[in-house]
Amino acid sequence: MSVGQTSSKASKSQDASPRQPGVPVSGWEAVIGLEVHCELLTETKLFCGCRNRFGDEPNTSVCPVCLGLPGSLPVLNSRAVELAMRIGTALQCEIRPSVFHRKNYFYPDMPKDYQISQYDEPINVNGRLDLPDGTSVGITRAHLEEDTGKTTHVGESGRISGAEYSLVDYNRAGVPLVEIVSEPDIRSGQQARMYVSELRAVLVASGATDGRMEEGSLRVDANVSVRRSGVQDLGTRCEVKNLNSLRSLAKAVDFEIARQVALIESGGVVAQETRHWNESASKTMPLRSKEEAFDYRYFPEPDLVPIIPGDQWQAEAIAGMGPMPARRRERLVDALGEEAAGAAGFGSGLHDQVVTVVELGLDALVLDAVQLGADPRLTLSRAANEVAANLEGVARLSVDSFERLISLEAKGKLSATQAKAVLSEMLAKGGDPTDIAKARGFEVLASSELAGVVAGVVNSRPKEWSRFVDGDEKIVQFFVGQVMKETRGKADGKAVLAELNRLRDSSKASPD
Amino acid sequence: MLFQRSCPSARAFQCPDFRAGVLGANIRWVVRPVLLGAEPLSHSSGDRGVLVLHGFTGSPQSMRPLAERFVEAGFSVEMPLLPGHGTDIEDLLGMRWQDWSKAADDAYLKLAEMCRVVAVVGLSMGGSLACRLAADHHEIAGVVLINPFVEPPAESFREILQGALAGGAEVAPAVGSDIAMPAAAELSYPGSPLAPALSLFEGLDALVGDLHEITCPILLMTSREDHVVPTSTGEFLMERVTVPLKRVWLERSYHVATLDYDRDIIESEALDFVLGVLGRSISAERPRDSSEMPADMPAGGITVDAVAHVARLARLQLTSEELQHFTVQLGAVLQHAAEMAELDISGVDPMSHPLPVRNVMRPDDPRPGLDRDEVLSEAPLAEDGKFRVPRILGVEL
Amino acid sequence: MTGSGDTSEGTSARPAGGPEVDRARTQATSAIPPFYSAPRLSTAQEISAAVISGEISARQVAEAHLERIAEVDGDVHAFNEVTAREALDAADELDRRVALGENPGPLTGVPIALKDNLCTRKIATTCSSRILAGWRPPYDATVVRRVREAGAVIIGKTNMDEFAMGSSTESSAFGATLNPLDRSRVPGGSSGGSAAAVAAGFAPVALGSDTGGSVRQPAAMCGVVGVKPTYGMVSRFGLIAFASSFDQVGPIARSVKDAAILYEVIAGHDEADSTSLDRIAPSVVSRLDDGSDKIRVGVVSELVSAASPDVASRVHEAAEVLASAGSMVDEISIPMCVYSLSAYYLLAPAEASSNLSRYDGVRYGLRVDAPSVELMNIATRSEGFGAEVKRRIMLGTYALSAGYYEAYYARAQRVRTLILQAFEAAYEHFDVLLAPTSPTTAFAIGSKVDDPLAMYMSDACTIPSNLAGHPAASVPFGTGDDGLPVGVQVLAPALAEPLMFQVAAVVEHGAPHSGATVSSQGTEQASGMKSQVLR
Repeated sequence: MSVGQTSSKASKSQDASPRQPGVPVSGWEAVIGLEVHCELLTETKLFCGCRNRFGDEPNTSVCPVCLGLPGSLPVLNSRAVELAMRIGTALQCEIRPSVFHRKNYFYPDMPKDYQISQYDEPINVNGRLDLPDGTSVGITRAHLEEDTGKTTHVGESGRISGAEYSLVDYNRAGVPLVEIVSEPDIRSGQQARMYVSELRAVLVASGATDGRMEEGSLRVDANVSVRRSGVQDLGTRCEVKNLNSLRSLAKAVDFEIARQVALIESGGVVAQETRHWNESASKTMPLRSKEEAFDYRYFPEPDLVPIIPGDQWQAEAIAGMGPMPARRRERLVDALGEEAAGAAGFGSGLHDQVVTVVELGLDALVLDAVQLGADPRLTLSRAANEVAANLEGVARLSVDSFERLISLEAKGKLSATQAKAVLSEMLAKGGDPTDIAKARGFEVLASSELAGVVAGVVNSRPKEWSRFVDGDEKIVQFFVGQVMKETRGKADGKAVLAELNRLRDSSKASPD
Repeated sequence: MLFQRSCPSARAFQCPDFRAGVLGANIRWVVRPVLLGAEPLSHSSGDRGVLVLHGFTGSPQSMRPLAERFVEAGFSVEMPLLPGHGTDIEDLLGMRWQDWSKAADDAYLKLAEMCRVVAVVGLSMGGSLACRLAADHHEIAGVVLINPFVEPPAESFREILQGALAGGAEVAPAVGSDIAMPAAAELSYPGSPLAPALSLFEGLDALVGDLHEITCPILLMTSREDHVVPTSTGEFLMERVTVPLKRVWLERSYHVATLDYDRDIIESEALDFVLGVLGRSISAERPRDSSEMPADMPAGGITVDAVAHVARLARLQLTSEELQHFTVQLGAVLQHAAEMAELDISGVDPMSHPLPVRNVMRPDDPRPGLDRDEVLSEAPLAEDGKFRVPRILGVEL
Repeated sequence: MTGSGDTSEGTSARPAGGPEVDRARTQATSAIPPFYSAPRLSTAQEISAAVISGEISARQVAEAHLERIAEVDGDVHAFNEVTAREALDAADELDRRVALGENPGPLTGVPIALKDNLCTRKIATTCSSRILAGWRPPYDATVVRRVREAGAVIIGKTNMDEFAMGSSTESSAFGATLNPLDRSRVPGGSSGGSAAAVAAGFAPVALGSDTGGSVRQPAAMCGVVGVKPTYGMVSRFGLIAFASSFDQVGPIARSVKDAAILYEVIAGHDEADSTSLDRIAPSVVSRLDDGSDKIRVGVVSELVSAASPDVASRVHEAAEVLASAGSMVDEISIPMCVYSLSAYYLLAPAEASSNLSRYDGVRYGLRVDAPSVELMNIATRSEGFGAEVKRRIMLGTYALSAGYYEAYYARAQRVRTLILQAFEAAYEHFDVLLAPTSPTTAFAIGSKVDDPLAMYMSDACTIPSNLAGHPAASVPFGTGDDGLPVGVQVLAPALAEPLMFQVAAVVEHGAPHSGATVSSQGTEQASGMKSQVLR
């Protein structure tokens, strides 16, 4: 077969060590489209009443339908359709009447040796996902299909290639999936990562999935090709599989881009093939191509009837769905006020905080606290750092007490260090910020008192002080630390710094 | 059969057996018995047709084994006896290129009336006629040329013939039966009439300008050694056509290669090629919306290759006997199905379902499944609560 | 093959493929012995009434039928497996319930033969294929559950064309079934075992499946009644799929009334089948005596002209019967009919090619071992499927494959629409249509096995109903020139089963009593002989 010939002929150069991955290659453009399979959070499978559950004993969640026993027939799970409609809505898709098709190919993890999927009439089409960096990626389609079983390979390597035999568990067979196919709008591994990260947030927010990549709830395949800058025609693409984490996705895509560029520049030709990301070797490797892989003989599934999503049904399906992350980030930035919003551009620390807070679902807490009068930037910062580090404690944190803590800090009643300590106790045990501060004896030193402590520290360390005066800026942290130690954290860091600078400036001005 | 090109002028243009001055107008309608073996062949069998054309001064005899292979393979076959051939050389004297060309055209139209797809096979002048047909009828699916005569002879050569003709000669010495294999012989005339030959050359002159009109694939088979048409004929043709062309060299045969040592090669190559173009001609080789086709329905043929491919897709292994058997049987069913091409289906929705039912679903409520032991007790092989299978992708097909 | 072996002592000479049958035998001797020794009660209706009234026990009925099978099935091979033990257990349980005063249902104590493509829990279900030999499903088909719940006693699984692909029951991997009326002839197919079982007196009723005529055509050839319901009227859950958008389970019986009773038991919505119609099954038994006065009957000329002259004559005679019963009979031409075969023989194999992919040696059934899973799939399927199944898988795979889908599959789907529209148009002028069931009477064993196209032609008159999804019933009506039974088909629009049964009953009533059927001898004797229920 010609496919086999091509790949074997090209195999040496296909695996040629590429230039360093991750480095954009000048003169080239990568074109990346992603296919993300998302397991739906239903009680039961797509076409039968077996439980949709991760981690059961093998072949205990099976019935005639999901085992593909002769005579069995599928009946569609209405909840799965509703979750698909939620995903469609979240991705700004057009939701349309849809038809199931059979995709015919032989594989032992597929009980009927065809997969029931949607082909040319998918439920969701023409959507869009807005990314945090302000770009957006087109969504070609997001359709319903059934998952396959799981195969484990028994033998020395534990992998397909060296296996002596394989074992099949059909618990996962028939689990409902939505496959989200992006337009080839993505240009780098980093952007691919951002897309999947944002997509996961959207899917979780829609209530359709738990988004757990490590359990396979979200599985990503990347179609990667490269072309010379300015060229319109697409290059030959490779499909990269086994991308089990966001990190490996970015690495694999960058590797694949570099590999293809190196291959073409050395006079080679990219073969259209499926490649496997090998995490330990940090490279993509060709999977042996299946001989008749490309003739799926799709035809309308005669055992199922068309799905017509009426307006009322759609409205019911998406009821209770909150705003998507992009909209929530906007709200948060708006709440920061005009000046801060200007500083919250992509890549800024402030933007990162906004993304984190929305990702972790802390945006409501922040907005509510701000509503009560808390300082927006300080609230955001504490939420993105201290609260984010102790998510289990959020339940113990009332908006009211959170606002009061922020206000204590903002008014200088607590130093930053003190405020963090109080907040971490509030998250661990609950309680009122004023009470905790009092119990810990926290109060911010008066400035006169602070000046005395600072002067004492400076006088006891003449050698270090002269270095500071002579321009060694790094040593300032040493003095701040010493003051903090003396005051047991009661001093406000900024005030300490200001006092130190004042002393230095004055000692320079009047050399005693 | 044409003149030897090696040293035409060295030959004397005399032929004592035939009277001078007997012209076509007088003898065209004389009915003479067709020589034994030179009979035309007309076989009707289904929707795929092959037109087989013999050469100048030759007869269907030279093409019969090949034509019979097509009959065996289930094709409808037309092999006309070209005007003036297969009887007596006198009958040929009055014939001209237009007569043979019309006869070929008529035979083609007859075949095309019964068949949805047709391929044309020709030897020597039969090859010239095949090219003519393919240039004129773009619906022809493929052309097989065996030592075809396409390159018009030089003017100097024609002058010699015209001189001979003017000098009263009618017939040049025979060049038929140019066969390497000792025991084989071609049923051909004992001479080459001059006027018909000159008209053939004129036919070629016109053909050369139209070769680029050919739209179907070509199988070209030429002998390394040929004493009738120049061996450069292949290159000449290849320079002028723009379609896919497969070249096969015949190492051991002379001009009448269909009766020579390479006869088996010719037959199997021709059959493969014809199966290919007739089996796939509409849906694979041509765009589906091709306005030339009355409908997008394939002719209903299926090739052995297609059957073998389908067997692989369906994970079935067929013995070569089953493969042949299925090719014929599936071909018959598909040919029958081709009758649907008569129907106007524009604007008709496809029916995948007898019922106009929509939105049949069940609530997301768990139901008890099957007992694992009961399930695995029916498994051919199980291990650790799972189905055990041989290794995957372990062995290539 | 277990059960039938028990019953065929001394008749082991049954030819494996059927064709070697001694054709020199005269028809009289090649027919199996008539039903004299069998239970005198031959209709389901009578059996059920007698069992419920205590006149006879379900066990006695079951034993009598098992005895009949043991005596004769060696010569017919209607069964792949006779489920004697299960039948007797079920009969005892029914007798116990009847003794307690219960009425188990309309089929109480009625032996029923099930085509071997209906899943029966823990009872082998093979589709007469090597690839499923010995497979014991872990569940019952919905229709199986329904007949059990109606009090029927499952007496065995009947032989069929492999995966229901065939018109003669010769493609069974376990040997052909012979026509009980003339064992040099086929019983028709693919439900040939079920039709033969009913004709031979092995069971008063049976279930078959009809994808392109597989209930009606064998019923016609064996001289019994066969019904294909409206698509979606009877659940397909547990019916092993051949072509999903065509398959329907249907009753086979010795009378229209028994067929109607069985129809009412199996019809109705099933939530396990998405294509099952969500409506209450209509009452049909109550319509059987309504006659056919003023009913507009169209005789489909294309289908009549597809039949041999003797068969065509019977159709015309049936039309006269209806006319004299007050129907308005006329001829109608439906030219689109002629494309039925072409459309069907692309669409059904296409669906089949996909439905039969699952027989890959991984989860159940046959496995032929090989070094890799791909080679194991190939070895298993090549060994496990017979020639006709392979042929249809190939045909269907081809019709769906890249480059041919539009030209073959999609075009055939559109032609299917045209055929449906043509029939719907016909039903604007007629209430029911009349046609032959099979173009000929039962043909000789072996006469068409090497010519698929000729074999396919014998479905010409039945296929249109499957394409349209409409109901149709075949009623025995006299015999052909060879003395073998002819079936006349009553076709009706979707959901018009009540009318269809009503007209079928009139045709049945007017049919000449030819004595061509084995069972009719029993039936004739049965009438008015309740006191002689058993020896």
